[in-house]
Amino acid sequence: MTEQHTSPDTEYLCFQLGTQYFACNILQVREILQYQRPTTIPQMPGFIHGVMNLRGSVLPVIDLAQRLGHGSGRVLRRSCIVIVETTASSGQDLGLLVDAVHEVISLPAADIMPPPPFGNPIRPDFIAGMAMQDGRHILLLNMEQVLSLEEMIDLAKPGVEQIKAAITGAVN
Amino acid sequence: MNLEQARQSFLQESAELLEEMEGILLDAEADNITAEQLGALFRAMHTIKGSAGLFGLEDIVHFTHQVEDLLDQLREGSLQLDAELDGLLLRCHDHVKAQLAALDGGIPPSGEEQASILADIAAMMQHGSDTLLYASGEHLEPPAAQQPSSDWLLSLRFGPDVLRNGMDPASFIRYLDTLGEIQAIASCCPGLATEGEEDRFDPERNYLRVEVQFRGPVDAAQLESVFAFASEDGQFIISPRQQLDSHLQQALSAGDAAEQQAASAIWQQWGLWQPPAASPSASGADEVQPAAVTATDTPKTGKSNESRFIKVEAAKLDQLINLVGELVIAGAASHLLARQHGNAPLLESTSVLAGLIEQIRSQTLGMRMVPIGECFSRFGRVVHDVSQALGKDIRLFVSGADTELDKSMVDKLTDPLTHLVRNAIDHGIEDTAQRRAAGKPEAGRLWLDAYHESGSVVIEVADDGRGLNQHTILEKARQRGLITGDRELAEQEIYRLIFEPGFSTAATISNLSGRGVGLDVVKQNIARLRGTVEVESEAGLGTTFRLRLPLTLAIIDGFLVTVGAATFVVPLDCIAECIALPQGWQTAAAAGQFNLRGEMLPLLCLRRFLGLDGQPARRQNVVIIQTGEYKVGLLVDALHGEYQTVIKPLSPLFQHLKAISGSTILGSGEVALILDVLALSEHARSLEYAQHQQTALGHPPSTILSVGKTT
Amino acid sequence: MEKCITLGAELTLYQAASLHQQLLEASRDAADLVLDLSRVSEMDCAAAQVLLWLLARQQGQQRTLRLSQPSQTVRSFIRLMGLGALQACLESNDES
Repeated sequence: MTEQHTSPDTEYLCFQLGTQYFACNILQVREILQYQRPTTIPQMPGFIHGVMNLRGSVLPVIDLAQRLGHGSGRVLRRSCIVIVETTASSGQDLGLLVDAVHEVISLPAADIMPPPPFGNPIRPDFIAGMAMQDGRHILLLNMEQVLSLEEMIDLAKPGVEQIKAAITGAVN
Repeated sequence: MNLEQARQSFLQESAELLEEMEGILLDAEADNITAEQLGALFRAMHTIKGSAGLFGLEDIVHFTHQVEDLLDQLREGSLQLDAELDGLLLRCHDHVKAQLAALDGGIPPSGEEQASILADIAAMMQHGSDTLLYASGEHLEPPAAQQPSSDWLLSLRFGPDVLRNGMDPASFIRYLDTLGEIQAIASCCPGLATEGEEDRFDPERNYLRVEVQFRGPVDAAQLESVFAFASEDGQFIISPRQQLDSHLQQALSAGDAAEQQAASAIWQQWGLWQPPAASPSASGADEVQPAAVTATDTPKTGKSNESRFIKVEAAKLDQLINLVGELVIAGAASHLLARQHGNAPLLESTSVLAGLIEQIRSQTLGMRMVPIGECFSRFGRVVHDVSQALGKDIRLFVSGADTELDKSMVDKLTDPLTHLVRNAIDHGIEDTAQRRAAGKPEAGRLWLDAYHESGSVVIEVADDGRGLNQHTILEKARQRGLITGDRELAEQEIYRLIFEPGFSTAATISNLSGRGVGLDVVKQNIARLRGTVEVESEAGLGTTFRLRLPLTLAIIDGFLVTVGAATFVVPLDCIAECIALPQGWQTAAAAGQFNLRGEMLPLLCLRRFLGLDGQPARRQNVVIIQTGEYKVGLLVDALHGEYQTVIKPLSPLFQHLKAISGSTILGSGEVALILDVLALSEHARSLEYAQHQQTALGHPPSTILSVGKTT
Repeated sequence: MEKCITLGAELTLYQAASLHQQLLEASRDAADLVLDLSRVSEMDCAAAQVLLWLLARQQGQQRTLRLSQPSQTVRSFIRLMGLGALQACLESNDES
């Protein structure tokens, strides 16, 4: 931790995608794992990086950069998989592929600014707020939105629909 | 529980009851006592009497019995609770308290006091009613719980130490007798059989087991409390008469074979139990059962089969299966490690372990398997009711009721099957007049059949009705916009239309079916169980719906294949054979077909179908998968042998994934995907069909082969 | 060959061990056994199962067991517990 606060501030896990810093509420983070290649699922959009085995459960791994529309899913030397639990994924754990995990930061509510109405690097509804820390610009993510199962299922559908269309097209 | 503990618990319970009694008596002023309070007073005396009886405390039994009689009159209203009676009851209370205290080392109450109280009670009762024969020693009226008499079945397995603990089973029976009427009783000593010269009889060990039919105004809790003192090492199975089946199932499966036999003999003698029929006709193939009697017949045969079963909570079994699943994975992992290290003794030991795990796995899974007959049996009633409602005469023929499948699947099959059965009766089978006109027997026939076939369970619902009318189906489908143009459809294609949402061919909508909801739901339900539905029909002769389902939902025997770096699992029981793709076949493979010993089979390139990266390996292999009679070749890179696969559900994120049915964890810890063979084969089939169409129309088939590439 | 044994007034757990011993020896010597139960004034399940044991043993050796002149106590105990096997051993002329 870089700073000590006496007030019960909210703690965030800070991580990096490309050159941009992001953070999510530490309460949603269950553990951080060194990157290991997950099993690729065919016919899935790029943001679904694959599935991994976490102590006997099979978890989907989301390429967070691609989910945020923020670059391609490269795997770097410091890449990590952050296991998170959100209500959006109906209590199921998900893995997030990030480029690097940094420290846990503590932010008083007053230090969190609303995102500007435009000019954001990612979709506005993905942003819960913004903060400055050590001269870095940190985007606080709205995980419920980013990991909305409903939306992700929807996004995962077209590929399959395409096949279906192709099959029915061939049949008809 | 030893005798001293039992005595202590009796004393404590009695003290509490007396305290309650005293409270009520002190509280009760004149005539404001409630029926509830009177009941409590009665119960206090009654319980103390009963428990005292168990300990042979004749004095207390005798005294409390008199008090009970007095209270009974009070409750019946022939006596009023006045100050005098209240005082007398308090004296009774004190006396019982003193009697109990004497057991615990206190001073015994004087005989004079007892005589004086009893005289007062007698006088009081004489005063209240001259009809009551309280003085008769034999007079033991049923206790006065307000409920009506009911019938009970009791199987009393007294523990081996009950005699040593100073309790006599006969005392319990005597007490039970005071609560109502023992209608039938029989004891057996199954453990007694003398074994040659070696006499193992232990005269102080209890061998008795008692079976009772009892009638009395009691509830289950009261009956259970009768045996509370012996409950520590005994087992007392008590059920209302209505639950005869479950009672016997429980009672006759307890203990060793000798005990089961002895107890069974008693219930058989009473005509309440039938030994399992040994006649071959019961298990024979075509069990002919007229619709009307099936409902009553089948449970009877079912019962005898169940009598040797132990009931286990489903959740416990699921937990066990989960653990076995983990064990399978862990076992595979250590075997893999042993192989990597090349340590021969270790490898040997893990092989033995793997064999054992495999046995545990199949045994555990077997526990979840139940005969489908359980589910079939209800259709006798459905057929009876529905055919009556429609004024049709229909006979149901059930076969293959012994066919086993996963319990959770049986539960989920009931709805789709009910729908198919109703559908057959409603739409399939003609009414009597039509049948007569068609020269068919007037009684319609409906068959339910189940059997195992290449790792699947097949369930057929067949009728000898009018069959599906292809013309009507096509017309309806055009009306509903399900198909367009005048394109010719193959027979199977036409039949498949009836499973489309919103399709119904019934001209009139009846209450039973034909609302257009149904067959699509049936198909969905079956698909959810990883199964398929096929239809076969011949105009005028009947229709057969064939459901094909996997045996279990939890673990499968898999076969590992790889395509590039990706590992997939193919369910082993779907694999007919594996062959290496011979040199020079690549061109044939590219055409999506290959020749297997003269048989042309569709060939599906897994790499292309799943849109996987990378170049095909130089040497490729073909896995021939078989679903039903249909075979498809699956082109993969490498074969890696059998693997026991614990199915891990995939996140709902992947719900639209058609070719993957689940995932599993390999020994290395990696996740592998399980191929949905049915979906793959269906896909290959529609490709093949399209290919025929295109060829017929003169198009080159190459357009079809690119289909899988669209991702 | 038949041997008649008269049993005492008390047939309970406290006599069960010695009763067992006595009857075991008797059954070794004699072919068929007759037990005189006319004096029995107290009986419990421990005693009943000694009798059942003896019956099973006798039957196992193709021998008989008869219960002669059962007292009221014995009769009512057999009836109370539904001891059909012992009921069948009661001498027919004694049954009421």
